[in-house]
Amino acid sequence: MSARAVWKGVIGFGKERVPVKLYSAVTDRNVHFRLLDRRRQRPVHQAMIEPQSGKTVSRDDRHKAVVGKQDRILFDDDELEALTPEPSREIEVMHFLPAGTIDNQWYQRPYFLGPDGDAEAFDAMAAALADSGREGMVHWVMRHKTYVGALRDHDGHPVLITLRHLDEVVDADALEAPGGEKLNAGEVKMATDLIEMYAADFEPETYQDEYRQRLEALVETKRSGKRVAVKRRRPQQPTDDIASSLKASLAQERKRA
Amino acid sequence: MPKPEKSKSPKSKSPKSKSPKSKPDKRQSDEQADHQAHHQESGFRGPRPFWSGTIAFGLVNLPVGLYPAQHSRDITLKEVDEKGRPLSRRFFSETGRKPLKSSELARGVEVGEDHYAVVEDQEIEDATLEHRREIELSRFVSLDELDPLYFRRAYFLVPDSRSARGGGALKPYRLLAAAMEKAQRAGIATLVMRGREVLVAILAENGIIRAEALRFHDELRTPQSIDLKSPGEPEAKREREIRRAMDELNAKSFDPDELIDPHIEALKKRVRQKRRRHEDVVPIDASSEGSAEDEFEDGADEKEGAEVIDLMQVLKRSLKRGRVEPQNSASASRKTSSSTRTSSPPSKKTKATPDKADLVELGRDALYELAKQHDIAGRSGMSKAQLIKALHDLPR
Repeated sequence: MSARAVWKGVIGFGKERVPVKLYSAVTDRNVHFRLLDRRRQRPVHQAMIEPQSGKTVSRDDRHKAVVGKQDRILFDDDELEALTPEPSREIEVMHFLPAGTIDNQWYQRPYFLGPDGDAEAFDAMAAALADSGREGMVHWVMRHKTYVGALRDHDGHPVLITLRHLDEVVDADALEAPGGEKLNAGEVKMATDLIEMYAADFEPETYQDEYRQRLEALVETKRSGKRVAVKRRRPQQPTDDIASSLKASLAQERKRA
Repeated sequence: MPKPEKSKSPKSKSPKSKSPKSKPDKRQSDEQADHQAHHQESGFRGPRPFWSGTIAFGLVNLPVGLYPAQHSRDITLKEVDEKGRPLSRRFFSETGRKPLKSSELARGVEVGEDHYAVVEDQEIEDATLEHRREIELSRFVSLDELDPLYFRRAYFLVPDSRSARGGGALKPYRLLAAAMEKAQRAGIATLVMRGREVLVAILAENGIIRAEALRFHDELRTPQSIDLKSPGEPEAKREREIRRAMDELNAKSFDPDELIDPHIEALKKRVRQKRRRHEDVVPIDASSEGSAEDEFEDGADEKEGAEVIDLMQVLKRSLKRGRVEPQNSASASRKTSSSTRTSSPPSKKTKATPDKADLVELGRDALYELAKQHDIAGRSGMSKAQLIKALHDLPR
């Protein structure tokens, strides 16, 4: 299946211009439910109301506000419009950084890149990214929003991964690692050896989202018109005691055996 | 570019700030002072971990708490009416003029062309996984093998000595962190969070352990799956030109200031300006205003800002002491004392019980936040459906 590009832009650095298309690398597999009117079994309509009067407020009469501790600051559409970033096709590279310099806690959402016209420039950029192993820090505006991203190679394909903005991430550098007496070098070695014993390849395809699979099965049952057998409610006891922890571990071991 | 309010990042090597007061953010430090005073008088009470349990590494058990490493934005826009009163979402049947009550709402799926079937909360709850309090660390992959496309969300792990039997959690925590950094490997494991299995990479950086929640394999596309051809062999001359242009922009280190959102900064600047000029400012009068919904919305809002600061405090303390801070004695009498917990608005009745209609529309994170505000016991192990039910069943 060929996917539609979500956006088109032009990557710019120095005098170079590389026109690209963005394709989402992520697909939403979650099961979504509709909100229904229970009695009629029909989807509901929604509206915004002012809770004190109970009156519905139409779109034209709605405003936006920044809610502070003691006040609300109102904004009208023109003002917000003026603050909205100018639309642009430019994906501007600020820097190219050595691999691994951008901490993975900033990574948010990946896009695959494909050429949009000038294939020579695209192929040359793809090769240069792969060969140098460097990551570009880029800025761009997409659908009225400002984005920061990392432009990098992914197995021969250039990708763009959006990064979180500074105000969305807990500043890890302001945290101090737990301190105490110097760790025993022998113990650190033992722990490191144990890690090496457990060395494995990254095989994400071996894990399944079981909850989602169960929900999908539930939806299928509904579609087939069959009744869903409701399980008896299980007691929600926290497993604080050693016995149940042991039992859980044993069960896990058996499952693997 | 506007002046940054924060200038540190996980990778910047500037000297560590020892005190939260060294942050120049005015608004934050005011709030922080409030919070610190509050903490001192009542004993420390911060957000509780998203998840708590034990890391099993060989025969070593390390009790930990998980805190989110990401949080909501500094500033958000809410919908209000022309007088600045906050609005709430309501749901209506196709013909009805009165908003539907929560008991008249249900979740459902389209089972045929314009034909729907109700899915009961209990049915969804039955799909959730049995809660498990263990993270088994027995697969360690090389750090450079981790594919960044998988990273979804980060959590900090803090040692939790409260539940360590006969010993602190601090030492095994430091040991595991040191060993993982030395081996340049990350543990791959699963844990059950709110009824759902979460695939995580456990990794250490500068002595602090993080869990990176990963996407499941089938949530990622591949270039092949979307018919994207591999880039062709480039012309050598063209590649050299591109390389030269790239080299011009080479930098050694990452500058977190580049992650500042200019749009948000512009909005913040306008807010400050309007406050100064008393333009379009509607004061919140806690005594005259405040229908249930109002309080619910504003409360959630204030919470967000406070949450960030509290989170920082909690992380700092827990990492230092090697234990997740105990909820103080109030936890026993929480249900009745919730009004005294928040410093503002004062003298309010207990928190408003949100409508089920609102609840159903909320994400699991938001529901969890609400459950936290209402001190619902066992919330960290609850599924979305369970959270909705627990919130809905609160005494009104």
